[in-house]
This record gives sequence, structure tokens and C-alpha cells, in this order.
Amino acid sequence: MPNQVLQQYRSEPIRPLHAPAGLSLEKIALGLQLFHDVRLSKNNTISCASCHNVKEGGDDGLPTSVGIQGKVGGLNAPTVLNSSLLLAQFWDGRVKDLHKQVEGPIHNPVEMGSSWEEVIAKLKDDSAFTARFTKSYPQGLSAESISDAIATYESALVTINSPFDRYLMGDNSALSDEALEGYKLFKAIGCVSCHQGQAVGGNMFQKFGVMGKFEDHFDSSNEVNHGRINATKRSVDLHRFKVPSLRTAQRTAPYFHNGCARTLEDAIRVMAEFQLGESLDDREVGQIKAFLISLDGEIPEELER
Amino acid sequence: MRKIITTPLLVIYFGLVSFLLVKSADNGASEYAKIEKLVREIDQNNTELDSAVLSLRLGLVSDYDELTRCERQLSTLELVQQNQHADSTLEIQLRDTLSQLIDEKIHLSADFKANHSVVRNAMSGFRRHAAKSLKQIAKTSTQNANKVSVLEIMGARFVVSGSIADEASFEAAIADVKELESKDSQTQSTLALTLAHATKLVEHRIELDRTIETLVAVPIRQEALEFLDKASVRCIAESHTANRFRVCLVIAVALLIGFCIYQYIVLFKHKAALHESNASLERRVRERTEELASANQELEEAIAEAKKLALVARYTDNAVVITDAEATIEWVNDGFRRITGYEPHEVVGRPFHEFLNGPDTESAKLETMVAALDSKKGFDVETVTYRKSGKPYWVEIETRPITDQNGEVTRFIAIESDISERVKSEIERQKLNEQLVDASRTAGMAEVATGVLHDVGNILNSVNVSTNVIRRQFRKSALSSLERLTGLIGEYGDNFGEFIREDERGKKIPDYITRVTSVLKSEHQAITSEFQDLIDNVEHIKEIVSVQQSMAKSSGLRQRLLPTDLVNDSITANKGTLSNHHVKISQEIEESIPEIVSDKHKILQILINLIKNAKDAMVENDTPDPEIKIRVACAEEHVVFSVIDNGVGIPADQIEKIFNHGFTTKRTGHGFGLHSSANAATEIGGTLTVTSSGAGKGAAFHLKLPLDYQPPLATVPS
Repeated sequence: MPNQVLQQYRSEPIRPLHAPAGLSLEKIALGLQLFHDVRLSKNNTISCASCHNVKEGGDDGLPTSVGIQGKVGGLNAPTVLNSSLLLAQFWDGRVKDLHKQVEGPIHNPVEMGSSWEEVIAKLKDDSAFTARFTKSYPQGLSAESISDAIATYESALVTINSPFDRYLMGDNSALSDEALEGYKLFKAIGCVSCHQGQAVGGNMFQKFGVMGKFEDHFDSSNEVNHGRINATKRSVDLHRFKVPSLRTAQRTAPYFHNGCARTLEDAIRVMAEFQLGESLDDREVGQIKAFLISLDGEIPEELER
Repeated sequence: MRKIITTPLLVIYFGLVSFLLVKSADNGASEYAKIEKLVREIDQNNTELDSAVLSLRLGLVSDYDELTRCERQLSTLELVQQNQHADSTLEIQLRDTLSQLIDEKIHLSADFKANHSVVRNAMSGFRRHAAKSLKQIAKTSTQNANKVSVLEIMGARFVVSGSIADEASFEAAIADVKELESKDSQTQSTLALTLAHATKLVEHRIELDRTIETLVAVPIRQEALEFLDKASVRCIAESHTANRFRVCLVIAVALLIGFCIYQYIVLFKHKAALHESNASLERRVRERTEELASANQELEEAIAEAKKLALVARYTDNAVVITDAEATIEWVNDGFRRITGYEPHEVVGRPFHEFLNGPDTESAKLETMVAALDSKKGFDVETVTYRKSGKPYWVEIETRPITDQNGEVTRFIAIESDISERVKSEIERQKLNEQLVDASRTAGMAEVATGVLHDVGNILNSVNVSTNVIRRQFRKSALSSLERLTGLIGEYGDNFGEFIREDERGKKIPDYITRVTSVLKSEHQAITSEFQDLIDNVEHIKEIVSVQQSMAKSSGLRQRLLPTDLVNDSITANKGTLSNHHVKISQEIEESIPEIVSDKHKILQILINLIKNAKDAMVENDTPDPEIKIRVACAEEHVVFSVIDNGVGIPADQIEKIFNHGFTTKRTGHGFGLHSSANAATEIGGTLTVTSSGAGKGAAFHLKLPLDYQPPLATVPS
């Protein structure tokens, strides 16, 4: 694991991202095609990229996504970028990995509204694609192989080389002063307790409303707002959500599980209040924002499509 | 029978072996190894997770990436469980047992993370705001500041120890500070925040430790190890069972091997026997093959032979008939058709003798043939039979029976030749023969007569010679000389005495008269002997004629004869001619030659002839010193007269023909002499033979006569 190997990084709660290794290029290419393939949806209008637009930060810029026939979903689409680093998928973490995640949207009636049978049938009609697919997946088109292809592609979407990572690796000029101040503040007030690690988050579940009250911000009667308890049925998991990765935060507005925070500033302020009991002034918010912007890296252009 | 027994036995045996084989498979060891590995991994992951938690708790690590990784690793078991189906039951049991615990642990870990971050922030927030508060409140109230300070300290203590006692103190301090009020909003808010953080601490600090305790206490390791123990026991038991089965298997296999070895030994023995019998078989085969080859060869030869014979049978002019044992015709050749005119299909199946007779056939011959066939014998018969056209013909039939290896007659084979021509010529020959016999009889008579004439001629020759000698003698006689002498006396008259005394010629006259007298004497002697010879010869002629007459009466004259006399007589008969040709003649007569009893004249005939021939031979040859030797020797009961000359001799190719009738080499010969001499010799029980070294080397004729010849009672014509 790269994390443990190089101790010459600055010893910080946040660690730099590295390009993923050991992924098959053919499978990435197949996954890329499938990710952008509208045939995965019932009426061939929606592809994964519709809600997880890789060019635009890996989400759709909507508070909650819109599926087939304009059906509106209940949750804000998380970014596909760096999604392989997350400990679980979906806000309630009900799915352990990217493989398992694929079937969710496909079968969700308000998202793609399709099924594996339909998808596989449609894909099999495309003989050219089937031939290409079968080269990498001798077992042919199946739920596993399609999921694997898509997951492989998604795993390749790691945003490396961010200014902050460069700072971490020793480049003092990589960060602006404001961003640096923002980082210090980020640490000082305790944001970093949850938004830490490689992904600056994404490795734990946390209650929304540590210092503040949950009900003050969300409608607790709405099941969608119950959080992890929906998946684990544990009482302690009530109002716990997956801590999102802030790496590509600057591109993934709106924020929170229902997309209620329109801007990054909003999100920062709400977080500070409800999680830390801090009220930040504009300057501080600006600094933190600058820091968050510095977290954003790049993915290879050919994967953007 | 054996197969019926062994097949089910074999099936049972192999079933047993398979069963044992399966049962003896010690899966226990590999299963245990897998379990052990799994347990080890679980244990390790578990420990790592605990470690990560404690590291975080101690503040050594400031992010949850490592802990999350440990969570993932531990939960991989679950993931793996869902994917693999080929795990052993033990593994599955283990996974089932542990997955619950692992779930628990991971949830506790998640709780820990949430709590830990909250506590951390609460700590930091409390500290920050408590310090700020203190500063702010210290401005206004020292007492309040003290409370805040106490709060700070209690908080710090509590944070460090996390003990209930400290919690209580902290809670007390919180209660104290809660009572405080400040006019300053900022101070109030700071205070509020401080209290909020403090409350949070109270809420979560001990919980955090409990979470950690619970987390660490999750008995993953214990369960796993316990499971491993159970698995170990079970695997050992399985191993034992497997071992037992293995022992049984080994025994079974050993039995099999033993059986195989036994079989091998038996096989080996059999192999040797087989080898032996194989070798003998090979030998026999070889022998048979050789036999077969030679039989084949014989067969081929026989076939070739048969083909040739078939050719013979086909193409021979003779008729070949093959019949069965009952003399029913089975097969005839082409020659049969040619001879008899019958086609094969006309005769096959008919009795053989049907075609061997007709009206003119001698019944005796037919009977002979039929009798022979009936008695399964062959016959050689010449008879008349009839062609299909009815024409008769003479046939010579040679019939032979054919026997099988038991001596039973299976077939007859007959070869018929059309001998009509031969018979015809035979008859003609017969006629000619009779004619010849007559002729020869006549000739014989003529020959005899000729012989007589010849012999008489011979003798007359001698007579002639004798008379010629006498005449010559008289002519040449010295008497004429005496006459001349008397003439002379007359001439001289009384003067004759004077003439005798005085004349040269006259002196010779007494001598001359003496000589003349002796000559006259010898002349007288010669003439006397000649006269004697003459008389003898005439006697001889008389004898010959009487012999001839006696021959006609067919009675031979026998008398005691002295060989010396015979020789002398025959010489005498030839005397004239011998002296004419100045042929020397000598005798070599053995002493004590006995008398012989035989026909004198025949002997004389022969001897005279022989001597004459000898003389002729030498005359023809112009032999310089012609000499005839006459030898007489005794041999067993015979006397052999040999007349040996050194004349022209007889070449080897003529020596056999020399006694033939009519054969002659003399210019003026008629060839009767030797032939009749030979015949005469035979008539008196003797033989006449000749030896000659060849042309120009003389010849020797030997007349061998028995001492006492007894002629047979009836005359046998020669």
C-alpha cells in the first residue's frame, strides 16, 4: 500500500492520491463505453454518465438526480470520481464496492428502470461490441462481467496531482496562502476529524448533527434522511451518513445527501455549525473553500470521453 | 465357467478397492490446512484491526484509512464466502460462525470511528473554548474563572482517564459552570460552546472506551481458535479413519499384488511350457510345411506329369481306356475315337469288353479277356474287334489293373493299338518266312551241296594240284636229263668212256649222273607222296560224298580219331596249293592229346577249309613270309585245333560277320566256307571261333571239339 510505504510525506491526516495500478486497459475501455451507454436504461435515454458526468466532476449538478422519463430521485448523485476509494457506496453505505453498485441504478425504477436481462439482450444485439467484450471477458456478457467492466473504469477515475497533494509531497509553492490558511483552519476547527485520509473523507460514517440538531436541518420523517440505519437497522446508525470525499468538492455542487446546500460556502457553513458548533465568518469560509479547491486533481483525458 | 466366477469377484474386488481408496483419502489434512490458514488470516486481520483502533485511540494515527482497510480485509471473508462454493464444510462452518462476529466487529469499528472523531473534536473544541472562556470570564469574575478552570481541569482529567469517577467530577464541574451567566454575549456563546463540547465529551468519552473494549472483546480470535481446535480434532479423527482405510487398502492391494505375483509365477511356468509347446509347434509346423512343400512339389510334379500324360493320352495314336473296378468305361482318349470311331459319350458307362469283340473274334481270346477282368487281373491280348463302322481290325490290348494303397483294384487302364497293319505284314512275313524256309531248305540243300561241292572242290583242288605236280614233275623230270645223257652216250658210242675221262663236260658226267640219280630218287619220292596224297584225297572225296549221302539219311558217322592224323590229312589236302605259294606250315601238337570220337569228314572239311582260308589270306596280303601254324591243345573235355596265319587278318568290324552266310572278303570267294564250317562244327557239338588283332595282323581260327560227341537222336535243322 502506497500509504504506508512513503513516510517522507508530510505527516498529515490527509494523504496524496496515486494513480491506480494493475487495471486492464481493455476492461477500462469497455467500462468507459458501457458507462456512457444509454442502453443500460429502459428507454435508452439514461446512461451512468447522465447522472455521473465524468467531465463535469462526476455528478450531475442537480440536487437529486433525474432518471428515465424525467423521474426524480431522492438523493444527490455522489461523484464517480475517486469512488473506488470509498469504504462503501451510496449515502447509506449499503453496497460494499463499485461492482455491487452497478445493479442499483440499473434496476431502480426512478433511475434507469431496466434489468440485467434487458441490458444484456440489448448489448448482445451489438455484435461488434459483444465480440470486443468477449475478448476481455471470455464468459461473455453477464451481470458480473458488465459490472466488472464498469467498476474497472470507475476505479481508473482517481484525481491525482492536485495542488494540495503536491504540497503534501514537498512542493511548498503548490498551495496558495489562502488555501494553506484554509487547511490550518480545517484542521483547527476539526473538519479534518472526519474529512481525512486519502480521499479527505469517504472512510467512515458520521452522524449529521453532532453539535447541532438533525431535525433543524433535515426532515427526519423522510426515510431518505434516516441514513445508514436503512441499511444496518442499528439504532446507533440513525442519521449516520457516509462522510463524502471532499477531493472534487469544488465540482460537485449541490452538496449533502439531498443536495440542499447549493454552494460550497453553504456546505462549509452548515457543516461547521452542525458538526463542530462553529460559526465561521466569510473570510474563514473563503479560506476553507480555497483549501477545498486545492484538493481537486485530474484524471486522464481519454477517460473523460 | 471360470469367467463366470471371476468376473463378479473382480467387480466386487475393484468395488472394494475403490471404496477403500475413496475412504482413505485423507482430506482432513488439507482441510485442516485450509482452516488453519483461514484462522490465521482472520486472527491477523482481527489483530490488525484492534491495533489500528488502539493506534487511533492513542493518537499515533490521525486518519481512519488504515482502520478502514482492516475492516475491508476482515469483511473479505464474507465476500469470499459468497463467491466460492468449493470450500469444505469446515470452512463454511467457520465462515458462518465468524461472519456474524466479523459483522459485529466492523459495526463496532464504524461506531468507534464516529465516536472517536466526535470525541476528538469535542476534546479539541472543549479545550479551545474552555481556554477562551477562561480568558473571557477571568476578565469579569475570578470565581467564575475558577469554575471554568475547574471545569477545564476536570475535563482534562476526564479526557485522559475516561473513568467514571472523573466523569462524575466533570459532570459536577459542568453543572457548576452551567449556572454561570455572563452579560457578554460572546462570552456567553463561548461558554455555551464550551459546555456543549463538555457535554459531548461526557456523552461519548466513556462510550468510546466501551466501544473499544467491546470491539476488542469480540471473540473472533477465540472462536476461530476454538473452531480450529475442533477442526483439528475432527481432522485427526478423519486422518485416523482414513489411515485405517488406507491400511485396508494397502492390504487389499498387497493381496492383489500377491495374487499378481502368484499369477506371474504361474504365467512364467506356463510361459515356459508355452514356449516349449510353441517351439514344438513351430517344429511341427516347419515339418509340416516341409512335408507340404515336398508334397506340393510332388503334386506339381504329378500334375506336370499328369499333364504330360494327359497330353500323351490325348495325342497318342493309341487308344487309352480307363474303367472302374467293374470294367465299366469311365474315360477314353481321343485316340480311342480315332481308332474305334466311337465318341466318348457313346462308350462311357458301357462295359469295356463290348468294344473288344465281334463276329470274327476268337471266343477263346474274349473269354481270356473277360476272365482276366473278372478276376481283377490285367491281360495282353491281340484280337480282332470292330470299329463303329463295322469294319474289323486287329487290336493289341494291354490292360492293367490300378490298385489303391490297400491293394484294392480301383480301376483298369487299357492301351489299345491298332495293329491291323502289323498283323497284315506279320502274315506276309509268315508267308515269306515259309517261302524263305523252303528257299532256305532248298538253299540249305543247295548249300550243303555247295558245301560238299566246295569241300570236294577244295579236295579236287588238291588233287588237281597233286596231278599238276606229278605232271610237272614228269615234265621237269630229270629223266629228260638222263635222256640227254643217253643221247650223249649214243653220240659218243664207244668213245663215251673217253669222253668221260677227257672232256671237261664229260668229267662232270659221273657226278651229273649221281646227281640225276638222286634227283630222280627225290622225284620218285615226291611223286610217290603226291600219289599217296592223291589217293588220300580221292578217298576223302569218297568219304565226303558218302557223308553227304549219310547226311541225307541223317545219320552222322562217328569214329575214333587221332588229332595228329586229322591235322596231317588236312595239310596234305592243301599241300599243292601251299607249296605253290611257298607257304610254310608248322604243327604244334600238345603231347598226350587224347583220341576224339567224332565225325572225321566234317572235321577234315573244316580244317581243310581253314587252312585254305589261311593260305588265301596270306596270298591276298602278299605276306612276305607266309606261315601257317597249326596248334592242337587240350582244354577240359575238349580238343582245340587252332589254325594261325600271318595274313591279311580280320578287322574288328568284320570279325563278327565272318561266319555269316554269304560273307566274304575274297575277291573270288562265295562266302560259304566259314559259314558251313561253323555249321559243321555245331553239328558235331563243337565251336568255331576266330581271333584277330586286326587288319594285316593275321588271324587265328579255333575249332573246339568235344572228346566224345553224342549227337541228339533227331536231327535239328540248322
